[in-house]
Amino acid sequence: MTDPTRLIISCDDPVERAILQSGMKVRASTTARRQTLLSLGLSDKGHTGRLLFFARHKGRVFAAAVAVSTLAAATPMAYRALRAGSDSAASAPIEVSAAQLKPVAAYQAVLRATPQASENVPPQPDQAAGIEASADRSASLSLGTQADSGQARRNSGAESGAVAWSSKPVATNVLVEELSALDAARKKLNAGDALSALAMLDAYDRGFTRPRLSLEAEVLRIFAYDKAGQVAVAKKRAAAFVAKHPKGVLTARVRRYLEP
Amino acid sequence: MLGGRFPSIAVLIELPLPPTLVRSPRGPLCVTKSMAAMSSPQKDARIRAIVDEHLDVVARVLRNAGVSAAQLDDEIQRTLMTVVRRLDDIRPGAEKSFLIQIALRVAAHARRTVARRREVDADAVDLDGGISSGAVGGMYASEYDEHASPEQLMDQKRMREHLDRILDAMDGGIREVFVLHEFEEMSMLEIASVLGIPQGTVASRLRRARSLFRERVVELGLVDAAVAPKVVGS
Repeated sequence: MTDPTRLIISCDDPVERAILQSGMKVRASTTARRQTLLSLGLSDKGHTGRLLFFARHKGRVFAAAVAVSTLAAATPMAYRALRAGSDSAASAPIEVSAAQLKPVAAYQAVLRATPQASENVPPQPDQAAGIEASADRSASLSLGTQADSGQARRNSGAESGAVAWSSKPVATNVLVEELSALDAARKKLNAGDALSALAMLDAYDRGFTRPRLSLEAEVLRIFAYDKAGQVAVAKKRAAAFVAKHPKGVLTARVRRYLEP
Repeated sequence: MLGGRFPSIAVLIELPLPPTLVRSPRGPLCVTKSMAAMSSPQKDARIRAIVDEHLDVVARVLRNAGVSAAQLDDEIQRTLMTVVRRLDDIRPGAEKSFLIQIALRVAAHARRTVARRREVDADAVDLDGGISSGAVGGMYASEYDEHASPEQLMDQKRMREHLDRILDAMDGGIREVFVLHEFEEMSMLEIASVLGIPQGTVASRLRRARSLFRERVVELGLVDAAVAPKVVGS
């Protein structure tokens, strides 16, 4: 009885291969290794090694630590000295035009729109317009000193409402929302309801200002158009997708659709 | 030493260990027992060699056999504790097979525990299509390339979720054969030896597992049914 060739070698589909590869990437974490050794009553070699190194070279380690701390203390002092010189030379306030402020306003709009996405509320176009208008209203802003700059930031925050400066947890929520939205569209498509899937993909495009799964959404859209009978549109989008992402994970699937 | 307070160390060792073994009140007992069993330097060296050489294998088998990312570190410890307890029974050179056997049992126990409690693990995937909110945060760090870009990480994470869904749809016995053959690169003879089943059973389970794998890939919409290649049997 001969052993069959492993799927990861025999399959020619890159998605299948990527799925199988994900099962081979698991490694025990450093924490797991350390905790396991400790629970078995053995010392962690790496940890012990570090301690031994410190014990043997404590003189050099101490000297290095002193040097680093001195450098760390001296750098801000030098920076302040330089800053004081430049401040006296350029004490006049800097005028910032409305056009220069527009990217800042747009960034704030994106930040403000991100938490709303987690509540499935798509950002309204008039909000972005409102931000631009507010940027126009504050035609110039004095940024002469650090205090002024902080004040300006506070002012803009007050105008635009609560701004989520820490975007990491928000991004996580949005990612989950995106995955759920695409899964729902895929389910509709698999059930044969291509029009509903397209509607859901449209809502996905509107609802996420910075979609991270846009490629997957585009592939779904291609197949949704195809199933909805709009083959020409699907083919056109598929060709554009392949041209734009010739080496993408999902490209092989789209290419197979174009060249069955 | 502990006889007056506790009836039997062995009984305590058999109890399910808490999530943080090292910090737990029961942890020192386990360490005491282990240290007592590892009195000789040769045993220490052997255990360290097992950990150094096979810990990744244990982690991979556990994870692919159904242990969630959130529980993986604890189950790795549990597996190694069991192996160390039975170190004298392990024939030199057969450590890997023994570790895999134990890891598969630990994973089966973990799966049963989750099913019995009817709880959704922190990173479990909803089979109806939705993904739990813990899926993103519950990723096991070492499953992903350290130097990957955010997009690549996202791809890898998504592929891992797909794999979890596919493997979760398989029956335990079928899953074990699939995992050992596809991820651990074991021959059917080796699998038959580890699982204690005839080689013909291994072959039929592997055929079934591959068929299920392809079916689930198509069901998840990852590959078109029309272009999905047929499963080639053994």
